[in-house]
Amino acid sequence: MNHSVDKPSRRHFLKSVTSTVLVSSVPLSLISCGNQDVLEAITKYLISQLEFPEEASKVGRLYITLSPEIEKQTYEQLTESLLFMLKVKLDSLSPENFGLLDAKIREKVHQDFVDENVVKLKGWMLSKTEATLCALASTYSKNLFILIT
Amino acid sequence: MIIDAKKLPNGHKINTDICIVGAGAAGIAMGLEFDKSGFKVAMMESGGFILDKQTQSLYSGESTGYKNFPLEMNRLRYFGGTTGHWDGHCRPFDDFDLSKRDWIPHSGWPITLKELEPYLKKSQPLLGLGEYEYDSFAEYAEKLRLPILPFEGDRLISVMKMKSPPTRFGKAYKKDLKKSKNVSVYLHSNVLELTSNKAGTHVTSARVKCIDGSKYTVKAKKFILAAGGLENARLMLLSSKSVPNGLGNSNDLVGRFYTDHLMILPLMNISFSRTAPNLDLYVNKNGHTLNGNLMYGVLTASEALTRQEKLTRFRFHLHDNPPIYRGEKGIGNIFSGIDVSEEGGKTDKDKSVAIHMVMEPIPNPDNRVKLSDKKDFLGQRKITVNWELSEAELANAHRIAEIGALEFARMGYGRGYAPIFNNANKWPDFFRPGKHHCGTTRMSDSPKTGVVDKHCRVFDIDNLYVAGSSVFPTIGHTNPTLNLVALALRLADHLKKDLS
Repeated sequence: MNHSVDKPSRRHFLKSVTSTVLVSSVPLSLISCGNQDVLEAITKYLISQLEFPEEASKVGRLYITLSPEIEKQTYEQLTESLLFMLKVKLDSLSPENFGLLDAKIREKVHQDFVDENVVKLKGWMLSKTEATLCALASTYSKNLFILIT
Repeated sequence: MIIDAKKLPNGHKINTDICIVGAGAAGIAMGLEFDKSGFKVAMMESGGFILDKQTQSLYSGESTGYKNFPLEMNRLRYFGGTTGHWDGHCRPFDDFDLSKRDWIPHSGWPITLKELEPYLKKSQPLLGLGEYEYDSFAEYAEKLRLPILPFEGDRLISVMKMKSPPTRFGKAYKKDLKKSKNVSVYLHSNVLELTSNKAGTHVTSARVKCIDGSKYTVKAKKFILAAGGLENARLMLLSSKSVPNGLGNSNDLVGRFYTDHLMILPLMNISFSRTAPNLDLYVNKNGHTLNGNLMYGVLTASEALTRQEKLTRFRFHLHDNPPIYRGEKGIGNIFSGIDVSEEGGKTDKDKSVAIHMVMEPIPNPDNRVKLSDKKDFLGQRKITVNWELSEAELANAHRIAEIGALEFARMGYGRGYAPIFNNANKWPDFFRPGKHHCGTTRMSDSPKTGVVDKHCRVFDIDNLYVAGSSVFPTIGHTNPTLNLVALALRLADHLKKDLS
């Protein structure tokens, strides 16, 4: 199956849904307070950087298993950790500028490989940032599962 | 001319200027060089034109340490030698390969690439190759309109290898040697030992025996051992009538520093995160023809990276659609959203390339060829080859794998999977030796550290020389054949001047 046809549309869809939801329902003042909805929107946006979410989550689960410091973190805490890694302040983000995160993530992942800020997961070498992104995908999907059940 | 030595009368004596032991790549290259030179040359070849089991069994021996290939499997004991089954891959040493590298003990040749280069160029047509243009990779790529992988900075670089048809020396040069008036090849001639004066400083004759039992001797002004990386050392050790430790072995170096390339095939897979790049310059098994050369690209570390990381030399061969590691699903495509900024650059699932690694080992004096107590059917002691792999070499391989994965990821092409990342304390399953036997009569500027000098003359023996990969003190990442032929031609040139 040619996944590459689906993925650009899927990413754009996720980004636009996330942005639309926030613009219509979240006042700007609440963003600066680290509102739960905002964090969740940012979380979804960050996760949307990854293709094949199920596989990304598997990678994330593996990283979590091997990293005790991540295991206990909630998705909100992981999102904040990622923003810290990307040197982005939470209160600087708004739905209109989530797109800035794309380039930040790309640059950070590239820099991770330059600086050898990497992890090895069952034979795979990944950037710590992208491994943390996968961990976020796994933790968030687990959180959704808990909410549903 | 070519003579079947079995037809010589028993006890026959040959007097010649130059006696060459072995008619493989080195021996035949020198024979061709001496043709029409005015010097009388006698070349002793153990086998005939066709491989025979009995002669081939003379190569059997034992291995200790790492479980190596059977010794009679990699080498061919007949006219043309191991060129009878070589793959034809060629690339000369770099000057860096021959230099002293402080982080690699026992490294450093007593010659530079500049001294070898004229002979490398001369070797090309002998190996069925075109122009000596190894530095023209970028120009070749441009003419072929194929992209070179755009690694960042001066780290991983692409270099050219060429492919011989491959030239089978026995077939290609049989006619030339048959026609020669001054070079005589004696088939079915097994040199048992070289005799010398009491002091072991001058070789007086070669004692030869045919497999049917008849014997003869060869007296010469100069003797050249060109019997291969293991057999050269064996013959010197066997030549112990006057010198109990063997000829040229007063410092116990003959047979030591046995070395071979370390290969992990494959070392890793790169799972692409973007549309698979055009790797045709690297993966096309048929190579690309230009200027009479069949060439292809391989990757290696720049001198700067090698120095920075204190690595031994290595090269990566890329292979399309790797069959190995199928169980490991490619995850590179998970990160295509990160690596690829433009639309349409995303890759299909599970596209990957395999990276095969060939690595230079660290010279080790305890890796060695010794005489065993077992004898072959001619009554000669066989050899035992001890080859141990070190922790430093494993760490070197691990670091090389890391560099490979990092560089492909930095380029935004994908993510690397390597079994060596799972267990850094163990050689991966796909490890094997390169079947390039080298180092056992190494070249040096001092008899305390080597067996032969810069002219391949055995220290302390005025008329014994060695040709072939046994003289390599280090082996870089390149295949030995082009380089050993060049050294053989250089030796022939030196002897022509010396005898004149």
